[in-house]
Amino acid sequence: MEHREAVEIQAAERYVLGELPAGQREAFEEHFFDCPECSRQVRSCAVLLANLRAAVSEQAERESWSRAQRLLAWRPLLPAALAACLLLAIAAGYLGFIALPSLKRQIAARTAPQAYPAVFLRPLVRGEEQAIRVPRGAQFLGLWLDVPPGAAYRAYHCELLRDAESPVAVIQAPAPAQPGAPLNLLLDASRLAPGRYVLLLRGQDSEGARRQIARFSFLIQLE
Amino acid sequence: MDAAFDREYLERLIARDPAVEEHFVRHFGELIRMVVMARAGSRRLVEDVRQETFLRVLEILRKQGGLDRPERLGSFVYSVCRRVLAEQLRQQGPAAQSRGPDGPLDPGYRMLIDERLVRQEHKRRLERLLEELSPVERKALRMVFWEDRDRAEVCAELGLSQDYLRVILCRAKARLRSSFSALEKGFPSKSRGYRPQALRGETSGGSKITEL
Repeated sequence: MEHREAVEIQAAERYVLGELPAGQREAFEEHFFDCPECSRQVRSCAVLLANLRAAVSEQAERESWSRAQRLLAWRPLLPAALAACLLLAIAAGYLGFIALPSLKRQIAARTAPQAYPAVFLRPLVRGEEQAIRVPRGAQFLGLWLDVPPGAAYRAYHCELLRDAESPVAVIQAPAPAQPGAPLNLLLDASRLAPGRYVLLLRGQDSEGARRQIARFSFLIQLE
Repeated sequence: MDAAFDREYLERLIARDPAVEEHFVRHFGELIRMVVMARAGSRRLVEDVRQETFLRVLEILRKQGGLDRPERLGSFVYSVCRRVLAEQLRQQGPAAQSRGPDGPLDPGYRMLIDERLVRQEHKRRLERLLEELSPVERKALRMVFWEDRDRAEVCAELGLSQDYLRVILCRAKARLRSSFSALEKGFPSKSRGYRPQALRGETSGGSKITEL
């Protein structure tokens, strides 16, 4: 390779950057072994390249270190963040491994086909109290109410009170399809603690006005 | 252009003049190092090729009593170096065995990055240059040098020309032209001993280097 050609094709820069094709590379090497100027050029380019890479790497290292320092500035909040994460993990674990499986089991038990005890309730007439025996573990309790004869209502409003004062449940029921047929209610037996209960039956006319038409009193006993 | 070596240099080399021998070893040792390193050569390979090349060159010169064309000493050293390197590579693996001693030497030709050449003052000057580059150019340099990404891939990704690195290198050279003599510190031609005529001007405040 002639010196002029080496200068024209920027052979020193290309050589150092690994850009010269094999033939040109070896021709240039042979040339710069003979040519003091080209050997200086190669050397200078090699020095520049090595230092350029070192400068870029140092700058990149400094930048990544300052990023790390910015992150470390948040360090005082780290324990609180960790505690929050821990709490979140515990809550998620509780929900996932305990609460949700338990709820699924309860739903499955409630929705499975099953028999339930049912009682025909008589209106309180002479103060006598009806005792209802509920099997332990029963899911539901059916109450059939004998609706007193008289004016027909569009709907019935049933209010269940414990010890005659604490409301336990309110049920809005449509009038039975057949005149004189009983009104059927289904209660959650697991929520009925043993004790005295009063069920107030009110009729509701077409204008929404309610009127008490019967009072049922009963005693729940578990067996 | 001037020839780097002359008859006097050769005669003194053959006569074992310590100053000329020192210059010969430092000057060509550096060039051989660059040739081997540009081919992904290890430090050990560099040393093996240097030693063997010097041994053979000096043996031939002393046996023949010189060269017909003393100004071609460099070419002669290169041809011996090339042959020694090919032999060493052939010993290294089956892929290299298919190459003859005069075939192309291309085991992993790459950028010539020699960490021995890194100096604090050069880095500082280049850092200032880096600050003047566009964000895309800086990103490209970072991807190539810091993340060791493939250059062609980086160029394609950032929409840069394949020549960008050469352009930046040329810009750096131009920028540092005034202080370029510092880069030559420790260059073999600065030996205090004998220097061939064509290399003698290099120490005068980098006057030759500023011609870049």
